[in-house]
Amino acid sequence: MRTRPTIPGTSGVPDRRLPTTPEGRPRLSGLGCGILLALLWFSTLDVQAHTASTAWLTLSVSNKTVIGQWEIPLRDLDDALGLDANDDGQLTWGELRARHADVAGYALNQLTLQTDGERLSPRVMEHRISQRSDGPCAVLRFVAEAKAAPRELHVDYHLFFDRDPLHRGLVSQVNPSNTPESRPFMASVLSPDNPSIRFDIGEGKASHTLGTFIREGMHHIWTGYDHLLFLLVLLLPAVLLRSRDGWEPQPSFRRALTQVLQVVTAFTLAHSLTLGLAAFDWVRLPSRLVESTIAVSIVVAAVANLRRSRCVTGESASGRSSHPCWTGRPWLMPFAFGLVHGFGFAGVLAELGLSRSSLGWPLLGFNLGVELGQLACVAGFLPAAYLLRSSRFYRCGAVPIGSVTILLLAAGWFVERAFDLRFLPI
Amino acid sequence: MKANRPTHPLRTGRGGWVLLIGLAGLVGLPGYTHALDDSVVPSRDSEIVATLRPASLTSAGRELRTLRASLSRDPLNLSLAREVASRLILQSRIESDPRCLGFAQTALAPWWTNASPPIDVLVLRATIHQSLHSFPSALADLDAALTLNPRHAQAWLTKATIHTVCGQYEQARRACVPLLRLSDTLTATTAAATVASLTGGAGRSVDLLEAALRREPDAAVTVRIWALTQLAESTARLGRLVESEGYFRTALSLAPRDPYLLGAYADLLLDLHRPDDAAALVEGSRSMDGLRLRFAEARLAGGHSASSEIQDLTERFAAARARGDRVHQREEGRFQLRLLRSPASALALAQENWHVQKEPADARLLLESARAMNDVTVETQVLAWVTTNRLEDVHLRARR
Repeated sequence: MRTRPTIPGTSGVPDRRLPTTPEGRPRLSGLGCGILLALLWFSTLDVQAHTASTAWLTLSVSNKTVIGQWEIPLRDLDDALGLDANDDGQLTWGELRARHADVAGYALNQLTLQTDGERLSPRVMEHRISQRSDGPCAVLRFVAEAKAAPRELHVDYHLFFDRDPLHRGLVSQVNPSNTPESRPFMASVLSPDNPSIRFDIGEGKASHTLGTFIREGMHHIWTGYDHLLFLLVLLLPAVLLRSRDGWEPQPSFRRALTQVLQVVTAFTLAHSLTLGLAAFDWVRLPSRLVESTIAVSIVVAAVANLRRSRCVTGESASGRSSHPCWTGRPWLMPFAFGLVHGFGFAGVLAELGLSRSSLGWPLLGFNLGVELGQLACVAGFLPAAYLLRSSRFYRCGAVPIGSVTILLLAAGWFVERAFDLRFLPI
Repeated sequence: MKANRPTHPLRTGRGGWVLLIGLAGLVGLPGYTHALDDSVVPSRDSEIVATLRPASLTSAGRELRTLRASLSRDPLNLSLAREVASRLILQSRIESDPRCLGFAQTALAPWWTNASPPIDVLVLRATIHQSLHSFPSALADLDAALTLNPRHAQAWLTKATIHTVCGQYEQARRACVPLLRLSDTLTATTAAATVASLTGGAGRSVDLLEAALRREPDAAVTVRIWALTQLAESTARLGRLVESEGYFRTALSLAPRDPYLLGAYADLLLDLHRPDDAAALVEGSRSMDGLRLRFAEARLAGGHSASSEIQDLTERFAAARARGDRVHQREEGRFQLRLLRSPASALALAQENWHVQKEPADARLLLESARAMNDVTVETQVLAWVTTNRLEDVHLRARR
């Protein structure tokens, strides 16, 4: 019994070598001298370090465009195509990148997409990498244009079936507004015995597309807590005035409203600008940088609140700041950081796998959705804050304590995003 | 006048900006993108995106690759197909990767749906079916093989194993008889003793196996490991825990990283309330689902957190379920019962699993899930099954 080196993190299984005949050839059948014995007796323990080969194919149809995201285990692609050029067992991005065309050709050759009888010609737009519970996958994002908005989509799937009959394709059709997380576990299982599936698409109108993207935009602003928290931190002091003796309620609703509008408009203008720039791929920033800076923006805004929200009267007697810091310039911070948030929105839009040519309506819809979602929150926040503004609870509780809480959360996000860690529940 | 000017917090010192820019630079330096949907585009060509195998391919691995390539050029070459398939089945154990079973099936593709393929193909096909828990198909192939050649020891042994796993002890016993003539003594004794230990002869089978091990010091090491494992498990069922641990240790000295042994020994340690020892035992092998499960149990029992293991196992079981796999029900049931503390799901899985396999571990899972759910009917059924088969197991006793 010799033990061979194990794959770090993936294996730890002994090498059960076949007893060999003098010629050195493993002997299988014949007398039961323990050849398959160990194999058989131990088979009932689940010692699999892997699930069997599984690929995830997610399809969505928006107007005439079929958008696909196909996650294929790199182990299988390597077995089929020999991607590991230097054969050292470590597949690098460079080795994979050099073979992207082969990967795309190999995979798409074993997938047939038909809409209403028309066979589509998908093109891979982007190659990425994802981590699944069973290991890393190549992610192929592709688009295919139909002649007319399809009523049905027929999928014929044969990837790897000629090499590994245990391979399964988990295929799902989603609306562009569905979140990616809802994807893999409601999928249809395609196998050599059952390689096809048909999806009903319904009416593919432009307005439908626009509506879907508006919903996607609203969904994103409401579930992407970071954008809302940033806005909230900026709006918390909008119904207050800084006086010599600490926070005082803003006497005029109109002035409070004006300040809120300035903040929201500046934020909107800035993020619309960068969302457009990024969506059309004129400017590209690493999303890790963007996401981390978004977290930083919340921290900075919260710190700004705290610096001027000391509730102790007499503090201002020191003769320093006696007004909210950006009096006269409430738009400055939302505009500056709004530019960064816009790149964050663009990341979401990119996930929907849209090609630049079909970006117009989705971009408009998504942006509208973000604004609508934002306005709904402001409409809920402002009256409540205005009514509460005279209370000690609001001035000495909501503003500083809220700001500190948000600050800590955002600082946590920053650490997570910047250093690629996961420890927060949201 | 300074005092009258509103002071911007970010203007009170340049420190804030410097800090901000510094942090942004720090984040930008590693220079790779991290998208929200968790897929990424690596920015450096040198970045390793997948570890496919140990640093260099072993000579056996290289040989297998060459053989598979030759077979794909000459798929009807029976002896080559047999060779490739048997190596791949072994590889599936070494790599703990069911992919190799699929590749093995492909190697046998020209004969896979054949009603009467050559005898070696029948035995290999049975082995693949068995590994995928398709026990009826496996038994059908073995019976066909034994009709062609009643002296095929491997086929008898596989048949005995499957019947044992399915709780069909009479058929298992009958399949062991020819082994006395056709295989070496220790193999035949171990097979027979295993069946006996599950059907009322546990004490006697332990004596028999101990004697056989003493008499056959030159037996193949794989058979010795198998015999020691049976001894360890039989004595554990009898409650002779100190002896059991001794056998596990001896077996592990011959096969220190054997996943089956590690799992079974970890179970003993958990039953002995030695979670830290159990965790230390399987820690290095926790990439395997069954051992990761035990590691997580041991961590919890030792008062530590096992949240990352639980998260990971949840994802893996979900992925297997999405595929429609039914191979992991015992482990998943145990996961639901002991880690997620969800006895209702555990009982459902245990019952489904009971239709497929009936080893003591399956009975124990079913019994414990039923008790957790206060399901007296199922509890009574399990205990009746234990009585009928005269299975001796300290974990499968009626409540007092």
